[in-house]
Amino acid sequence: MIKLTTNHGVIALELNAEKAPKTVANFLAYVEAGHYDNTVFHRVIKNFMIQGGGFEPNMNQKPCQAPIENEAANGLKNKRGSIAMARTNDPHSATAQFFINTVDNDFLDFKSPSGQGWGYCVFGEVVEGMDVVDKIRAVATGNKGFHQDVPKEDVIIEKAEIV
Amino acid sequence: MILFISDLHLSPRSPGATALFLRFLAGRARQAQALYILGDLFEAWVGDDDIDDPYHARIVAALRAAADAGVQISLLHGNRDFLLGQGFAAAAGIRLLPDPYDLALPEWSFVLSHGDALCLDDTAYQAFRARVRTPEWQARMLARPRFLRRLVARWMRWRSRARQQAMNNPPYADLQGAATDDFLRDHGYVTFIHGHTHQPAKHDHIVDGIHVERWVLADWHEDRGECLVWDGAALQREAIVAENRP
Repeated sequence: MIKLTTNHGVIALELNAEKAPKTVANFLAYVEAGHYDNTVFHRVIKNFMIQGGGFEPNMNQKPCQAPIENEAANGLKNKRGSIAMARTNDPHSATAQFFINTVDNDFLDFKSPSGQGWGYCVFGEVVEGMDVVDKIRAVATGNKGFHQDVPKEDVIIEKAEIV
Repeated sequence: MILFISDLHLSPRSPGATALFLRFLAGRARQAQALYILGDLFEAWVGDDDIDDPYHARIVAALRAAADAGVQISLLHGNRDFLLGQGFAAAAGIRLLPDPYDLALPEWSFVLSHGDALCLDDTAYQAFRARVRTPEWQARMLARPRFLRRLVARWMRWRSRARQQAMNNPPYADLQGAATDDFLRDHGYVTFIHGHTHQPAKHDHIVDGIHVERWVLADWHEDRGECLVWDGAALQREAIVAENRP
């Protein structure tokens, strides 16, 4: 289990190494390296998802390891409470940033192994602390630099650890 | 606010850098009054009739959209895209500047260049440059059919790579010290910004007892670009990276 200690409370995650082995190994490597400590949820959209794991509180982007293969075809769904990898337009470009779905987002699921159809790889789910996720999704947001939907007051992951 | 970029080396074989640049033009660049592209926007340019190529058409449209939104875009030629002409400039809504270009702003003065003209230690390249920058050579080249020009461009890139490998050289020779000092003197000891060498750095020169800054722009990669920002008081580097999203 993964424990994310945030300044809004603790979120506990169960990862699915059977369905998303590469994605889980990648996420665990970042946790073990301390990458997520003192990062923020920098993109919060109430009825969509909360995204984090890539920026420090001052919106400095942290350096990442090599991108990973997209395992979105594993059958796991982007339903409320699931955790998935963020990425660029390139389907196989996920590095450290992840998001927790705050509603069912079927349109993010894998459809076909091409362009838009790849979807976003779910690799686990929130097992405790969904109330904390709901608190975070409700914070006030605005623009910061070139980023939109950034919480006005930092939502910080103080520590990410394997428990 | 003014932005400086160079050495994007855009081509259909660099979809990542292309996506970064298109997003840059649609987003970040719109917050600036002016954008200066200091050479090698394209990996190759064989003549303005290539605007109708679908890949080039997208770049031209994106430049035009940013220009129409009020960003004044200016371009200096690089050693790769020295055949960019008025046809391209008109279609993209940008202006072509001579190299070097003296940029005098109310609060500070700069001199801009691609930088290749000062790499005098690379004598073979300088001989090539002197030949291809003449109006006669360019007129002769542009008179050839496009498929032939594309072949010539490909052959030139191949030969340049082969030569670099054979010489076991760093990909670009650096600027020659004495020539750079003369250049800075000729331009009134103003801040010098250039690209070409792919060795981003800030150098401090003392010329005739005067401190002169030389800023070298970064080349763009598939996952990262960079621009230099003048905010009216200082220069600062800013990374251009692809956004992660669901």
